[in-house]
Amino acid sequence: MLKLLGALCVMVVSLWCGAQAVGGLRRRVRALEELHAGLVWLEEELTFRLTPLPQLLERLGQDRRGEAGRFFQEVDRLLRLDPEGGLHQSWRRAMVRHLTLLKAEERQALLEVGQTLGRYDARTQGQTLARCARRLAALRDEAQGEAQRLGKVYTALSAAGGAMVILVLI
Amino acid sequence: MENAGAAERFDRAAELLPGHLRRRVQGLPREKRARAEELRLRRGRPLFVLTPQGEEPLEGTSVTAQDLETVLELASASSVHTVMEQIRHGFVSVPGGHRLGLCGTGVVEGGQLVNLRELSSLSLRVAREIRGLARAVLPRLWGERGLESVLILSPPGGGKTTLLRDLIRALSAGEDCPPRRVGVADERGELAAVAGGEPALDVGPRTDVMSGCPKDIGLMTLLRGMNPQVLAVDEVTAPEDVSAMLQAAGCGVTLLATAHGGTLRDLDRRPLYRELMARGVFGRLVVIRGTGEERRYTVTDGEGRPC
Repeated sequence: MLKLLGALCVMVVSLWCGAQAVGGLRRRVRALEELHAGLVWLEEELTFRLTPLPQLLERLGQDRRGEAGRFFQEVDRLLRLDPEGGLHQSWRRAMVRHLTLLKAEERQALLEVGQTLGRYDARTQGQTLARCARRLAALRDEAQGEAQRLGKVYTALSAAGGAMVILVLI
Repeated sequence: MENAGAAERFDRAAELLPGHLRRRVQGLPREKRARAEELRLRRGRPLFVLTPQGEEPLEGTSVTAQDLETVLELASASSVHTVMEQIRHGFVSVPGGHRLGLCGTGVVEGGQLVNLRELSSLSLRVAREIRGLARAVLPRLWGERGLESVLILSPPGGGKTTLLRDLIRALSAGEDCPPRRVGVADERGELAAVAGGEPALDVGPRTDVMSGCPKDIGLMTLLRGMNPQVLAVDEVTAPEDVSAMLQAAGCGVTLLATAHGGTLRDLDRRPLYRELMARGVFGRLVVIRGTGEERRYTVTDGEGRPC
C-alpha cells in the first residue's frame, strides 16, 4: 500500500513537472500573441491618431493580458516614475522584469521598438512597429508549432520518466 | 501689477531640464527665478538664464547633446510624433504655456523643413502672466464704434503675448468695462495653456479657448459655435489667418491680435498686414517698446494718430 502511494506521488510530481514545461511553452505563445496584438494597435493609434505614448501605454496595460499586459503596465509605471530616463530605458527595464519567457530573437525585435518609440515621427515609428509585429507573428507561429511538438514530447517524457523512477525504486 | 507666481512658473518650466541642470536653476534665488524670461541651452556651453538684464551663464554647467535630447523628450512627453508639426515651425509649446525654441541641423524635403537632426541649441521661454498689465492701454482702446479691434506690435520677446493675455482676461472679467464673451484661437497653447480642458493661465471667466488647431480654423469654429463678442489670436503669420480675421471683422466681432514689428511702417512693408490695415480692420495699434523690465505702450489709431 505504501509502495503504491509512493509510486502515485512520484507519478504526480513527474506529470506536474511535464505540465509546467508545457505551460511555459503555451504562456510564451500567449505572450507573443498579446504583444503582437498590442503592437498592431499601437501602430494604428500612433499613425492615424498621433496619440501620446503615455496614454497608449496606460491603455495597453489595461487591455492586454498576462506577461504582455504586465510588461506594458511596467513601461507606463517606470516612465511616470523617471521620465528623464526616457521611454527606451523604461521599455528595456520592463522587458527584463516581465518578458522572461521570450527568446533572444524575440527580445531583440522588441528592443528595437523601444529604441524608436517616442523619438521619431509617426511614420518611422509605425514602420518599426509593423516590422516588429510581422516578426513577432512569425515567431509566434514558430512558437505555436514548437509548443505542439514539444508539448507532446514533454507530456510523454514526464509520464515515462515517472514510470521509470517508479520501476527503479520498486 | 502682479507677476503672479512667476518663480513657480519658472520652476515648472525648469522641470523640463535634465536633473543636473534642473537642480542648479531651481537653486537660484527666488527673485532671480521670478525675473527669468528664458533658459538658453547651447551644446558644449554653460546654461544661460535670460533676465531683463541680459544672459547670464550658470557657472559650472555644461550642456551636452544628450541634455538637449532629454529636454525635447520631456517637452513632448516621450511622444515626438505629437509635436512634429511644431518642430517644423521651430518650436514646441509646452504644458503651462511655455515655449521651447529649437535649433539644429535641418532635414529638408521638397524645399520644406521636415525635421531637425542634431539639436544644437534650445531656448525655453517661460510663460509670463502679469495681471493688471492691460490697464496701461485698455482705456485708450475705445473709439466711436466702442471697443476697437487691436493689433499689438513688438519685436520678438517684447511682451505681446503677455499683454494680449491680460487684455483677454480684463475684457472677459469686465475690469473697468462691461464684460465680454471672448473667443481665443490658441494654436500653440501659449495664451491659455489649456490642460485637461481648463486654462492653466488666467484668461478670464467668459473666455472660450479653441486650442491645438490652426488659427484660421480656430477662429472660424469660435465664430460659428461660440457667438463671441471679441476674438483673440496670437502672432498672425499666414494668409489663411488674415482671411479668417477679415471674415470675423465683417461679422462685427472685435479682434485682438499680435504681430512682430516695431512700427506702423513695418506693417506696410508686409503684404500680409497691408490688406488688413488698408481695409481698416484695426482701429487701434499698440506698439510695445522698451528694454529690460521697462515697457512703454504707444496707442495709435489705424492711421498712426496718438490716442
